[in-house]
Amino acid sequence: MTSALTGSPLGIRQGPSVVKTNKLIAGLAGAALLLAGAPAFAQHLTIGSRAEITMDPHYQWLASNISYYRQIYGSLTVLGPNAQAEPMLADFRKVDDLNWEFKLKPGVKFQNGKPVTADDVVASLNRAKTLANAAASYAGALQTVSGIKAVDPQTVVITTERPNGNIPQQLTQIAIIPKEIADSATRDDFTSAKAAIGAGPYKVVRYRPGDRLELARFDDFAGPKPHWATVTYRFIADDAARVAALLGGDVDLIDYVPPADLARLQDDKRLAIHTRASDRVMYLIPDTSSDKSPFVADLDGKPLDKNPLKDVRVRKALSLALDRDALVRSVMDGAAQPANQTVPPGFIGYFDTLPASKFDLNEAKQLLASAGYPKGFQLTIHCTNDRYVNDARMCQAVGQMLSRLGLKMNVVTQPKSVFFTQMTNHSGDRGSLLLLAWGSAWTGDASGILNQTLHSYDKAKGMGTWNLGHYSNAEIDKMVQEANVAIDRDKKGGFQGAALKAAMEDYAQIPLIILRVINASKREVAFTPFADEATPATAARPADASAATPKK
Amino acid sequence: MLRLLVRRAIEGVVVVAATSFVVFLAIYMLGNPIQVLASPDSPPEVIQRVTASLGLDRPWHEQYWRFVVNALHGDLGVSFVHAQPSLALIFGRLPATLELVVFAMIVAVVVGLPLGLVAGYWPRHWSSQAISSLSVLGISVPAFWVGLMLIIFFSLEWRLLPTGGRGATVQVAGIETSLFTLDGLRHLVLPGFTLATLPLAVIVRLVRTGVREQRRADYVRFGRAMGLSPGLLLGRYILRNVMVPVVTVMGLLFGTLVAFAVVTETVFAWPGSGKLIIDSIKQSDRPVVIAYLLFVVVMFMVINTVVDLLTALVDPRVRLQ
Repeated sequence: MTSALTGSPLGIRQGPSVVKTNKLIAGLAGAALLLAGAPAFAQHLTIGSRAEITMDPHYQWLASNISYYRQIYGSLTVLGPNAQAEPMLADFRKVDDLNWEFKLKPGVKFQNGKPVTADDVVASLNRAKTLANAAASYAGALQTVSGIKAVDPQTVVITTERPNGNIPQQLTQIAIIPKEIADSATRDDFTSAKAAIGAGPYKVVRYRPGDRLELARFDDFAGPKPHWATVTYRFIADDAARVAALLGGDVDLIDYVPPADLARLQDDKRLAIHTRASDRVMYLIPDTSSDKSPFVADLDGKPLDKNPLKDVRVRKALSLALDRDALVRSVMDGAAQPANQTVPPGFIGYFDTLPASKFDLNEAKQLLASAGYPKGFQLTIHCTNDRYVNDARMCQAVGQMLSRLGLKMNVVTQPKSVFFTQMTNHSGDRGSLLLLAWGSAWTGDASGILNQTLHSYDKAKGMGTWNLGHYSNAEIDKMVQEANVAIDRDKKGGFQGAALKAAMEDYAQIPLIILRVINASKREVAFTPFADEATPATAARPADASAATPKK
Repeated sequence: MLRLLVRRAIEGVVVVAATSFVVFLAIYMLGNPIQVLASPDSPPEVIQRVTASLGLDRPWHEQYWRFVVNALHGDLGVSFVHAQPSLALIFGRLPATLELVVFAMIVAVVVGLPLGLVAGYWPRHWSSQAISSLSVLGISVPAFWVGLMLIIFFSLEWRLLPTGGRGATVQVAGIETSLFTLDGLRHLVLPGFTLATLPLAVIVRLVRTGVREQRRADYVRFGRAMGLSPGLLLGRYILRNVMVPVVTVMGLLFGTLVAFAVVTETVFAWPGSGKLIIDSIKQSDRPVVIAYLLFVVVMFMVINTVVDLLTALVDPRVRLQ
């Protein structure tokens, strides 16, 4: 239903409006002007946001929640635009391979006036780890953490069960709240904003579920002072409605601009577009492990006695048959870039010298023939239709390109609840070719993609949970494990890059495109987009110098 | 009347029990929601621990039994997303939907009733023909299209009304409502009229058909022969006779609008219960989905009972049994 709406309200361009107003409408418009009062633009910002906030900061682990929490509650470290951890409430240093020290910055205060102490930090981290009923628990963000200790009122030491260089990244995820609230607050206290007290630059004024969140600047915030005195987030989940709200002037800044509307918004003189590469790469997962793959058959539909996808030549042929520029153009309306690996550039572990993905249908056909399938075979691709931007369209386009290779393609798109239930069943039949996307923002490196999607599936060790093709390569496993215990940034990046390169050259995954983050705002607002699609008000400011001086 | 209420209550319990079973089973078949909800970066032991702590690893009959026991204690589960009891969440959103629906129904009745009367009494007049054609359009045009058109013209082109969202609210009898603030009404106009399209068209057609039938009845002929004015005839005599089906259909439409104002609420980012259910389905927020469906069942039963009582009130010939 929503996809049918996308873009429609933009069909009509703003023109000089010659309107016959009757009295009623004129009256309403007059009233509107009175209500709006003097333009409070320089001090107030309204953001139209796709995702609503979950008020309890330790209940649902979701990037969109953290985008809110980083402004309200704050955390020890915070993700910068390039998804690298920076100190926020605390400075950090490595003590030894297993211990990290976080020293609270002087003068850091909660919004109730009390100083932030090490006890508050310990209570917050423990609550995040153990909060009852949390379906999407933050415990995952604290993986490998075995000890959280306050050594003095300013200092917390975090101990890990194995060397883990990602600790500063992981702590960007956990909101810090006062100990007494962490110990006693109920769910309702957060919803009514009574317990919504943090140490971030904005405090909660009012939360109207499903509708809006109103924030006011916290003037005792220890870090850089944000420009806007008050901020309103309006929750507008529907893409078309969000774009319409910007065009209608009801909001100043929106996130998740649908790619289909990008061109039209760019043409609008009243608006500015803020875009960058996101942390998310779309890729295909071939079934590289089954001897007989469940959704592969010969051209007559009879099962094949062996799995062609186990042959690296076949996987390479699939990759060569994909015209990624065309995918970017036709499926993503230009709001993406071709990918040659499953980690985006700028992230640790990205392998700089890997050549761009090639499109060569003839070479692909030759490879397929040399692998013993000159006439092709039948293959089903499974995708979600409600999980990633344009996932169903991407699925169909990939299906078409692969049929040009000579394969007889079936395209199956499913709601994510159905898709993930089937495809994460590690003991049964999953799929033969899957479309997925992976975001690497919270680690800022390749560790997620390597540990969860490329390392051999190992339930006991918690590795390869999202390795849905059960790809297994002992050499890569070894490099991944070495990267995990490497703390030095360059060393870690070296191992990760090597592992990623080996996996890409073996076509364990077939990277398609890197998605783009697109924000749009009124021309008067400047904004720095974030790789993880966060839309904090702290990253917005007036576009020109004259508006930058706050009017008293 | 008491017998009717008692019978309805018993029927209601049976229907709710049956629905809860079917809904629970259907949703259970979708598999472990934690798999979808949890961040893909969560290690499997976290997912397992959470699944176990929520009891989602138990066999379906155990889960259902636990659900029934909790439900009888008034606990329909805590939302996986909002960290709030699902019933409280639904009732928290209901005022927004109700005021939208009430506004739409008022528009539908105030505009639709006279139009239907006129179109039925003078069926050959050009304006009646126009009313009839427009009512067909109103029934067949989808709500989201109406909404988008209204947004394009009133918000984007002429900049008269906001594109969406709910306006300022005030507390009236303990309930937050935007019906009594100017800003609230400005926000209500477009979604209200969008939602009114369907019931308006239905009323016009129902009333028109009713009036055309009644017009041929003896009492109308006598009335005309006596020289009663059309206004008096329509307002006092014909109207009462066409109201019975109108009340019934209005009741059902009211329920439908409350339960499924989804499209309008989505287009206008209206923070009502329809938007809640669609978001909950998208996010696999299972407790809210189940609670909402049960709530809808109960609501329809209440509405049907009220409609029966109202019908008896409008038409004394109808006996309650």
